[in-house]
Formats: sequence, C-alpha cells, structure tokens
Amino acid sequence: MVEAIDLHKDYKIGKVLFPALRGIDIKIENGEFTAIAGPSGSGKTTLLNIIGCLDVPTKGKILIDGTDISELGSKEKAELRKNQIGFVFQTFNLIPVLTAYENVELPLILLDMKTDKREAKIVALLEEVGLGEFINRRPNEMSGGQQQRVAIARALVKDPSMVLADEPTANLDSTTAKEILALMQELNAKHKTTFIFSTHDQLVMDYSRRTVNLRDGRIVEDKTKPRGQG
Amino acid sequence: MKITGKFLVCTLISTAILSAQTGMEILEKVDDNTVVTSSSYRARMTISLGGTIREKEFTGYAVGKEFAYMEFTYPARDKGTRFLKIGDEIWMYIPAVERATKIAGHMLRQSMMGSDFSYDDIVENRRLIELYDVELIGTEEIDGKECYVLQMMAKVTEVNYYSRKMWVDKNMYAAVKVELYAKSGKLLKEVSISDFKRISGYTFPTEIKMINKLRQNTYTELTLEDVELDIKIPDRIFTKAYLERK
Amino acid sequence: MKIVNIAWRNIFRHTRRTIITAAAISVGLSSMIFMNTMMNGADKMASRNIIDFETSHIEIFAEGYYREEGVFPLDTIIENPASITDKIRKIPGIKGITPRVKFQARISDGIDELPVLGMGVDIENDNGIFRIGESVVAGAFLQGEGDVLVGENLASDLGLDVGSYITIITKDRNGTYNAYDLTVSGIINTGHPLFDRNMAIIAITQAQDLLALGQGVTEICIRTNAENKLEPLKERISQEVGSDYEVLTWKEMNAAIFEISGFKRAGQFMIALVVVIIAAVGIVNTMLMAVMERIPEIGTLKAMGFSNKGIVKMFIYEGGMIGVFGSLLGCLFGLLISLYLVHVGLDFSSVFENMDIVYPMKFIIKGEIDYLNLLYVFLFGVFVSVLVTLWPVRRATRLEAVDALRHV
Repeated sequence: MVEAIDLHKDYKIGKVLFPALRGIDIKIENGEFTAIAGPSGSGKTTLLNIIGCLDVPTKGKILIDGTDISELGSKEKAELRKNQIGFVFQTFNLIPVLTAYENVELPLILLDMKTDKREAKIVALLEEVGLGEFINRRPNEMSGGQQQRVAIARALVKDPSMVLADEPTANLDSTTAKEILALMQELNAKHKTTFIFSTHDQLVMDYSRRTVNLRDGRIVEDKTKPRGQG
Repeated sequence: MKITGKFLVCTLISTAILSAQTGMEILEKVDDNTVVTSSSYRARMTISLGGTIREKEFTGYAVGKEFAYMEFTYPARDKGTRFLKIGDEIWMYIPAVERATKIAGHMLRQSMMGSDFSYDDIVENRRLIELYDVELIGTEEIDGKECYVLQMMAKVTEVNYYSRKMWVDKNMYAAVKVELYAKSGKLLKEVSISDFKRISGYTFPTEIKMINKLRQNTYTELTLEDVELDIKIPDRIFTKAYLERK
Repeated sequence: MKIVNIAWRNIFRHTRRTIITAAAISVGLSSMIFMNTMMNGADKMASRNIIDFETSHIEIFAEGYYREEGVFPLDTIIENPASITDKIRKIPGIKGITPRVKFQARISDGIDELPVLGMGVDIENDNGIFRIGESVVAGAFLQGEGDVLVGENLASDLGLDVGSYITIITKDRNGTYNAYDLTVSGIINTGHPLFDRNMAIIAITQAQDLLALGQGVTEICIRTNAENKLEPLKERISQEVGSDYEVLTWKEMNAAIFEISGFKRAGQFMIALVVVIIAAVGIVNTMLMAVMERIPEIGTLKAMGFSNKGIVKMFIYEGGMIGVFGSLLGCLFGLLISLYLVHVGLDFSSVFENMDIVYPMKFIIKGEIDYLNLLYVFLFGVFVSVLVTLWPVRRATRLEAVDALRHV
C-alpha cells in the first residue's frame, strides 16, 4: 500500500519557488489500477516520481507498505526500486544496443538471478506481452507499441509490487494505446501488481478503475468506478 | 775534397778563437741579457697562414720570467682577451665567457690565438743554462752578423724541446736565431730575431719571427714597441681578480 | 548478458568515432615503440662499437689513471704490462689480452695541423681482441713502426691516401716535444666516429718510444667469452692484479654515454607521452560525448535500480575497450615500424655529417625490438584509457535519476 500524507514539493527555478505539489493526501491499495490525471504542470509526474523513489518531497510523508521512504538514503531507495518498483516511460526508454530479450533481462541481472532461471521467465513474459517472435529485435527494429510492450515486460519481469507508468500512451496512436492499456489491465488482474499511471489521456482514464484528478498540485477529484466497470 | 778541406780549416780557426770562451759562458751571457727584472710593451702580431695575413695587437707586462700579463686590443673580436702567466700556469679570460679558464695539460701545446706560438713557448721561464748542456760547434754569419753556433742538449727531463741550436750574435750576446727540435731530432720550430733595441742597458729583441716547421707557408712575426724595462709594475696586475675585472 | 557486453555494444554505436579515438591512441603508442626500438638499436650499435674498437670488455689501468673522459694522463701508467698479463692469462673466461697506449697528439700533413687521439696497438695481438684489422678499407693494417692507420674522415679532411706522409707530434711523459714522420699504411672505416675522424693508430712500440714510456702502456684490454656476465670476471681479475690497478668494464667506462642515452630516451618518451596525452584527451572527449548523449539512458538504468558503481563500470569497460583496441593497433603499428627499422634502418648520416657527435656510432641506425617494452606500452595505453575515462564518467554518476530522465 502506498500512502501520501500532506505531501508538498517545491521546485526552485532560478530564484522563483515553484510549488508542484501543495498537500497531497492519498492512499493506493495493493493491486489497484489507478490513473493520476491532470493537465501538464498539475504535478502528476512529480507525484509519480516521489512514489517511485526517484524524487523526494519537500514536506510530508510517503509510506510504502508502512515505510516512510522520504527517510531512506539514495542506496536504499535504489534497492527499493530494484526490488519493488517497475517503470514504464512515455518514451519507452529501452536500451538501444540491446535486444528485446536483453532489455527485459537487465533488471534480473541486477537481482543476480541465475541465467537458466531468467531465460524461462523472460521468454514467457515476452510471449505474454505478445512479442514471442520479436525477442531478438533491437528497439529500432520495432514499432512504438512493440517497444512499449518490451518496456512493460521489463517493468514486470522482476515481479515488482507496483508498476509506475508515466504517460505510457502519449507516444502511441489510439489503437495501439488501447492494446497496451488492455495488456496492462490483463497483467494487473493476473499478477496482482499495482499499476499507477500519470496521464492526461481520456483513454487511460477510461481503462482505469480509479482516477485521481490533480490541478495545481492539489487533488480535485478522486473517483473509483464500481466493480465490473472499465 | 775541396769542401772538406775548407771545412777543416774553418773548424781549426774557430776552435782556436773559441778556446777562450766555452758554450756555457756564451749561453750564460745570453741568459743574462734576456732576463730583465720587468718590462712593459705594445706588441703587434702578424700571423701569416698560407698567404692570408692577420694582425693582432696586445699590450703586455712582465716581471722576471715568472709573471706576465697580456691584453689584446685589436682586432675587435679579440679585444679584451687577456692572458695571465704565473710561474708555469696560464689563465685565459675571454670577455664573452666572463670567467678565467686555466690552460693546462695538452692544451698548452695548442697555438695561441692562431699564431705559431704555442702556450708552451710562453710558459717557459727557466734560464736555458739550467736546462741544457751546451756545446759550441762553430761560427756562422747570419744577415751579415758574426754568430756563435751553440748546440744544446737537454740535461734535465722536463723540457719542452729536447735540443736546440742557437746562433748568438758575437757583439751583442743575443740570440738571433734558434731552432727547436723534437726528441726524435725533427725540427719543429724556428725563431729568428731581426731587430734589437738598446734599452736601459739591455739588448732587447723587438722583431721576433716564429716559424712552425710542421706546416708550410706559415709564420708569426712579433714586433714590440714602446718597450720599457726595469720599471715598477703594480703587483695587482698579476692577479686573477685583475684578469677577471669587468 | 553482462555489463561488459553492453559496453562492448556501446562502442559500436559510433563506430567511426571509436575508430578515430583508438587510432589516436595507436599513433601515440606506436611512436613510443618506434622511439624505443630506435634508441635500443642506437645503444646496441654504440655498445658494439665501444667493445669492438675502443675498450673491449674489460680494461686494466694503473690506479688513478681513469679520472675522466677524454683525459689521457701519462703519469699514471702500467709500467710493466707483461707481469700483469702473466698474472691473468690463465683466468678462465678470458679470450684474449692486448695492451694499448692512448695519448693526445697532433698530426700534420705539412699544411694543416689537427689534434688527434693517438693510439699504439700491439700489431700481433690487437686484431684478436678488436676489429680494426677488419675495418681497413684501403691499404693494409700496420706492418711495423713508421706506419700509421687513419680513419676515413680524417683521411679525407687532410687529403691523405695510402702512402701519404704525416708527422705526429706530441709531448712525452716528461713534457718534451717529440715527433715522428709516418707513412699511412691503411685507411679504416669502423663506424665509430672517434676512430674514423679523430684517431691515428701506430705500433705500440713506436708509441712507447714517442712518449718515453719504456715498456709502459696506458691500458690492458681483455676480451672475454661472457659479454653479459662481466662482473665475476672483473672481480677475479681485480683480485689477481691487486689494488695498484683499476679494473673496469666497458659499461662502467661508458656510463656517461648511456646516461646521455637515458636522457635522450626520457626526452623522446616525453614527446611520445605528449602524443599519448593528446590521444587521452580524445578518449575523454569521446567518453564525454557518450555520457552526454546517453543521459536519459543513464536515468532509466538508475530508475531500474542500477547503482553508480554499475554505471561507472559500464563506462570504464567502454573506455577500456577503446583503449585495448587502440593499444593493440598501436603495438601492431609499432611492431611493423620496428621490423622495418630492424631490417632496413634509418639513415641519419646526411643530417649529422657535420655535427660533432660524441655518440660512438654512425648514423644508419638499425632498430632493436624490446618485446617486454611492447607489453608495457600496451598496458600503459590501456591504463591511461581507463584512467582518463573516470573523469567524464563522474558526470554520469552525479546525475539524479529524475533529472536524467527529464533530460531529452
């Protein structure tokens, strides 16, 4: 479970203090499929980065499974990211010199998993995201949708407790975006992994069960669709 | 036969005359004549080398045979080059170097300022009578002057020239020509003195010509002017400090 | 898949850039190898000239004779060389013994007079120890007293031919001038400038006569069977002849020359080092570009949980690989140039013709490859490459993941 209590974040741009988050209180349960929505500059990416241990709040607490991560050192946060958190980016961010297989393999190398064990896992996962035939392709030999599937597989391969996706569909056409969202929904259901998105794409909100709307660093709406919907 | 006869007669006559005076006595007088207590002079050195002639000028001071000082005044490139002799040591000062260097060992054999004189020739400071056994071997006429001919052989080991032949003017008791020989008997140098001046009771050589016999077409002539003898010369001239002065 | 594989692939992202960077390193290293080969060759030739013409392996002098280079005193000589020779003749390892007399002299052809180093050699024995006899290019070796051998350059300076007359003049040990007329019996070309430009070689008996040395000689030269292990033999000879004599190896006598050579080496090494540094700047530049263009990638890896250590490792591997590649290339080039130097050589004679060179050799230098040096140069290249990569990589480690990710 992720819990934010009175979360503030200020950026200093030159001498001007720019408040990105102005007191966020939110709880996200394990296994949720949640979109954090809002226009650009609303603070959604900042919130996601703080949840993902990439950024630290100026004020307030952020608890992951009861641990206040704003108290952690950078090494401990790296450990946490390595073990618990998978990332999916707007620009896919695959390593261009590595094949689909190798990109997915990277997090497992960090976890020191044995080669034979990881091979089975990677192949299965790539099959699962529909890239069985593309495992030896490099990113520049794949379409955007395929690259994002690799990125999703990379985020999930280490069985994280949550996947943070920053505008995952922004660089995809709507058909592909739907496919990707459907895939993530399916994986969420199957692996019970928490998915948290930042987005301003209505499509993402359509697919997610809970949508938290941010504006100027504050939550303006938090609605959860009843079960069975979306 | 005729020549032999003439030679015999000559020898007989000269032996008769010379019986009054031995070679030793003649050389003694020559030594006395050249050993002045002090001297100062201006010298012009004319170096002839295979047809080209170079002139150099220097002034010199000497006290006995132990101390000598020379300073070149001409030409411009040699101006200020100085030599100091103390006993058998020679120091040389070149303005560009600004420090005196000692000329020692085999460097003494080298030619001084490109002339036919070697540094050795300048260092020699002992009376000849102390170095050589002398034998009067005859008389000869040189440039119209009647001369004794002395044959000198080294009697000590430390001499530059193993033997010398010297022609001594009968009237002046001064050497007018000297031949310098290597130990092997090879003629190395020839010195001739063509002019003398009577100064302060001495017969002082003022035109000296040195010929290096190992090279062809070279000689060096030394002409001395403004010679003053037995005068007072300040001691400080014969010091390294004076040599190295700015 | 390992980090090293990622690094390996990264260097092929910009193949041309990698090749240029590696080529710069290789130029630096191959010039270091080239210089080393040349200096080794020069030293080897100098050593051969010294041993074969000047000193042999070991020389015996009267104690106090050997004061400094270029001074040949006649007051401290070996008065009775025969007794010394008898004492050491039976020592195993000695191949030959010959006495020599060295002295300062001037020679004159009747027109010019030049300073030379005079040398009296034992006509019977000298050629068993030295190689002057083999170096006669016109006429013949000394036949007896009255003969003189002169070097090719000296002969051409004075216009001497076989049969020409010269006078040698010097002062004997008492300071008395002595001179002899000599006939040029032969002209030598040894490759040792001292011998070819500056030496008059006569019979030792004549030299003893000329210098009033009696039976005395200035040195006794010893050729051995073990050129590279002279110390034990030197010790043995030292014990045998006693403390009135000084025993020196050719290396000890020529320490100054090898010291000069050491300075030259250092100088040339510095030049090569500058080239390597320029190449290193190339690596820094390349790696800096690699870091800059991969900032989002570094951010991604950090987000994934990569530690700084892992990222540094990746770039170090990368710089190191370029270094290995460049160093291999450099060693290969260096080796090829070296092989050319060994088999063909470089002709400097026109450059140095009119210079007064004290280095005892002619200026067609043939190289001598030092394979161990090749290895050192290789390791040096890799080491420098890795070392200079650290600096640009520091920039990568300073980046926060969140900033790196925002960087597009």
